[in-house]
Amino acid sequence: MSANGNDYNNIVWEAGIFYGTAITRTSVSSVRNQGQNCYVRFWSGANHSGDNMDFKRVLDGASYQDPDLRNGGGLSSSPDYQKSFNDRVASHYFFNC
Amino acid sequence: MKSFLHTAAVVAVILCSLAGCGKGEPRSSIPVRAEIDEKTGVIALPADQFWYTEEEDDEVASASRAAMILCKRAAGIESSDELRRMIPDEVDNRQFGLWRLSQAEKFGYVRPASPAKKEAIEEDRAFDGPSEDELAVGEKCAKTDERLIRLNMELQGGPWLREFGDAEIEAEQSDEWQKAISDWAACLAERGMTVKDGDTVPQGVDWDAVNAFEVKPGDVQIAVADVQCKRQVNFVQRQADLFAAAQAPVVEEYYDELRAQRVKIESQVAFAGEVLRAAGL
Repeated sequence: MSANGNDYNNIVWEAGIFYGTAITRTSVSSVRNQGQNCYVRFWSGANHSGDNMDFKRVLDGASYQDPDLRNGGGLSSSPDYQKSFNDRVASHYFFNC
Repeated sequence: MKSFLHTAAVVAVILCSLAGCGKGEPRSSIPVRAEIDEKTGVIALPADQFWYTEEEDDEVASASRAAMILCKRAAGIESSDELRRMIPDEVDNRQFGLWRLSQAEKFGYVRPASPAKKEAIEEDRAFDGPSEDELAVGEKCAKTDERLIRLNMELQGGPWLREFGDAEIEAEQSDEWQKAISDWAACLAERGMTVKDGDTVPQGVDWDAVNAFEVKPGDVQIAVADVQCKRQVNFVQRQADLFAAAQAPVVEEYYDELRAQRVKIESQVAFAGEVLRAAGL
């Protein structure tokens, strides 16, 4: 998804990468959940392993994006939310759809 | 860290052992082994029961969704999503990698999803985002609607988060942790498979197919070998136990604060139920 509006310069779903597409690279420093149905959970390991952080949907008006993952990110319902996730995203999972 | 999406039954069992099941009993029996159940997909660590269960997470998220739609409607904006509960998710804890043979045999690395969930994800792919008006009203609702303020409550956190993290890093750097990995990798090597340093999955998986819910025979073959090797070396129990032992002293130190967090969560979940009933859901 290309950057616009409230998007950041470096987002997970940047140009040519559509929402929901596999995320196997780790050069991610900020994220935004542009969906209308599902929350998204990012993992530090492949296939939903390791640490995780959660984001709501853009329709929720809060907790759906983070411009800087170096100081952690996402909902505090994940105990990992204070850990740096900069360049650590290795897989993702949609939930609470 | 964690596997906070567990079931209420596991929470009850572990809380009982933490707090003592009878009045006056010491809480000296904090488990230092993880409870794992391949049938249900649950891996329960000592810290997990102070966070949300899968069911509670669904309840709060559903209430938040409903409250937001109703708040927007009161402001004259019809939300882009429909008034309904969230689609429930199945517990399938993979924090130590794929480990359930039944899943590997049927689905490889794919996490199966219901048709309704797949449809919801497809809708998200096509969604261009809300209008500027809806976005603005939504952000205002999140800040001012009393239901949403309660439902969006952030857990305050505290020094235990860092200490849990540090304890787990220490566990991951231990000889026992590395031995579990090397035992698993050696088993895979005997089957002609390789694992890159730091990876939790053997090489060769078609991740584009996995993320598209496509089960490929080659991926199933890798997944089955992966899980069989984990079983052979008792991989998940070994790693989960190291995490459990690392968490236990932190739970002991901050037990009162963690219980207070849990009480707040239970209050929030009860409120979520009220919001859902009021919305007819």
